[in-house]
Amino acid sequence: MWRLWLVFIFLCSIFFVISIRLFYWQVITGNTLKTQAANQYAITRSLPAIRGQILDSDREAIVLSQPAFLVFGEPQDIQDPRHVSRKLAEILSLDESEILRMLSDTKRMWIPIARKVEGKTYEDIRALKLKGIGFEKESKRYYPESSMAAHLLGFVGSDENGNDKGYFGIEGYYDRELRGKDGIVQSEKDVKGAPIIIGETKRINAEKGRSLTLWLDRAVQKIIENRLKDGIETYGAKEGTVVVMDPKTGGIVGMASYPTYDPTAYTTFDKSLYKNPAIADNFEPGSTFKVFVMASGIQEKLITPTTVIDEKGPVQVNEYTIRTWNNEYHGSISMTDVLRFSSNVGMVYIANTLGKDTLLQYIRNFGFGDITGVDLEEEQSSKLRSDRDWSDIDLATASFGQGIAVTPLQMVRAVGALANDGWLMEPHVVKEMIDSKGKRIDIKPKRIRQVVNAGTAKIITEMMVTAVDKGEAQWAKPKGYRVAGKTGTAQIPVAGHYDEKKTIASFVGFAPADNPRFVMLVTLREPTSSPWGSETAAPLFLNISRDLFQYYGIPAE
Amino acid sequence: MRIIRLIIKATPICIIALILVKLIIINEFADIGEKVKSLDARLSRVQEENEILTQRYASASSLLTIAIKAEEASYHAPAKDQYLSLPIDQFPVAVAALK
Repeated sequence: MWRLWLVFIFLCSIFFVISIRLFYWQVITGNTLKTQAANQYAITRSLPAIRGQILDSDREAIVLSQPAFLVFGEPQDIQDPRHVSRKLAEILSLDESEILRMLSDTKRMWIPIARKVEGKTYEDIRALKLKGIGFEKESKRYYPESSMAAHLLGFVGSDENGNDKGYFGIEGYYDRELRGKDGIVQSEKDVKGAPIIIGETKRINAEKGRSLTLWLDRAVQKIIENRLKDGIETYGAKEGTVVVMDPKTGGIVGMASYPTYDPTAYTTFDKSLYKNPAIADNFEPGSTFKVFVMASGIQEKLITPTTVIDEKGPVQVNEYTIRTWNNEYHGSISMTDVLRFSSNVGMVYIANTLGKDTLLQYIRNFGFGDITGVDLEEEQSSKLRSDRDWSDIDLATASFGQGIAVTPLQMVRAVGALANDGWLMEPHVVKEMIDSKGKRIDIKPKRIRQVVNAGTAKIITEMMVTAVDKGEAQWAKPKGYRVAGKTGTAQIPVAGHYDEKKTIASFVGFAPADNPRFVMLVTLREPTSSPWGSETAAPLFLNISRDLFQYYGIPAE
Repeated sequence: MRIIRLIIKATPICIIALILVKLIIINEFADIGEKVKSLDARLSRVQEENEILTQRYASASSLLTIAIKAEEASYHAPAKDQYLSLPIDQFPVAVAALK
């Protein structure tokens, strides 16, 4: 009997051992073994999607992808790591000891050595036919116009997993549309590694990213970039920005800031240069803001261009005294002259006539205090104070553009409303998207609201034309053209007070005044040749306008 | 009944025939994987060349290149003041006509 028990216990033990072993293989190491088995008979290959192109308004590529490769090593297949490291270090200009350290680590199956290797460098490495060194296709951004419109376009870097990701500007805002969808091929392979057609095969093709057609005109962009660079040198400014918009559609035709960076080598530039000053930097607009307060007064029928005020001297607002910019006073002057002489005293009169609630409503209606909704990643806007926090002096200073912060794009859009029969548009950079099958999706211009009526817009346009024709920058105006504009000079607040010497000079306007083709803002930060907008930003604006008239073929009257 | 018998007799022949057909087909497809692999490689190469050509086209038609070529071909932006130089022994047409 005991023998039977012995056999029974022996069989149970064997059964138990087999069960444990099976549990180990199937449950604990099941997935690993499954993967190892699959690797023996299956090929899995990723098909990387090509990132979409960015085209200018003529559908010429300004950003596209070029083939590039990830160079990787398989340490277990490398016989002489020292030789391989030396050769790779020579071609890739990398540290030889670092490559050697990576390739000598035989515990690792696969090691990435260099990313985005392209052109001759790739060909040179491939020609060496080094065993254990392989290539995986990826793509790299190529900029035919070099660093043109870098702030607007943004750049492509890597996310935390090493995949391509767009940052800033268009690349950041439209990253999902541009990146497309990677594909995959899974099939069984034969002993030579070739796919077995009658075996199980699964193929999902990569979907190319959408291409974007912009409103941006590269000729206009080149003009404004060249002129801005020259202007910054001529006037000894620290920074500068130019924004050109089509007032009828809100399309951004050109947007340039200086200093700038090169998107192909963005890592070598200071990170503070990445953000686009035209949409992310706030500044006090100064006298350029007067046109909105003036337009509000006209719209409310409280003033007309011929309304006369007595500019006999400084005006007192509570304990504060408000003077004109040059401390000169002209006696009885019309509203047209208030704008022409850029009279702060006159503007305080209009603000008081409008009253706090009405003026604040117009400031908001012109789009200040909120983002414009432009399709660029890093847009920021200063918030306006709540209505109850506006004191009399705040209202008075806001009437001539101080104590209020705006972005260059907000200014361009608001002036664009005056050039577009009072209609405020949503600014847009992308005009259409083209999917991988060639289907075009239009992005229609979007009207936000009519801030002032067409009649008011016409009146303020005439006043702005007079301000240019009879203003201090009249010498720089292209002859035979009607340009509507306004200069501005704002001091820069530093540590709670205004710096007397540091100014932001600006000029905003549109042309031709009767049928505006473009609305443009020029700002120069801390010009040293003269602090005044009329002597720096205005001539630069008018020089760019001259080039644009020639480019658009607009004849003089 | 005769039909059933016929089917039973024919079944092994059909099975053998089908096995043979399968063998032939497998034999035919056995080396097609190699062709597919080479076609895939060609497709990838053609796509790569296409990307390179697109890049070259974009580069050649860029304003940057055009500006350099225009400069080389002596196209310059017109200066504000322009002067015409004539050799000492030549006169402008209008003046020459008066002489």
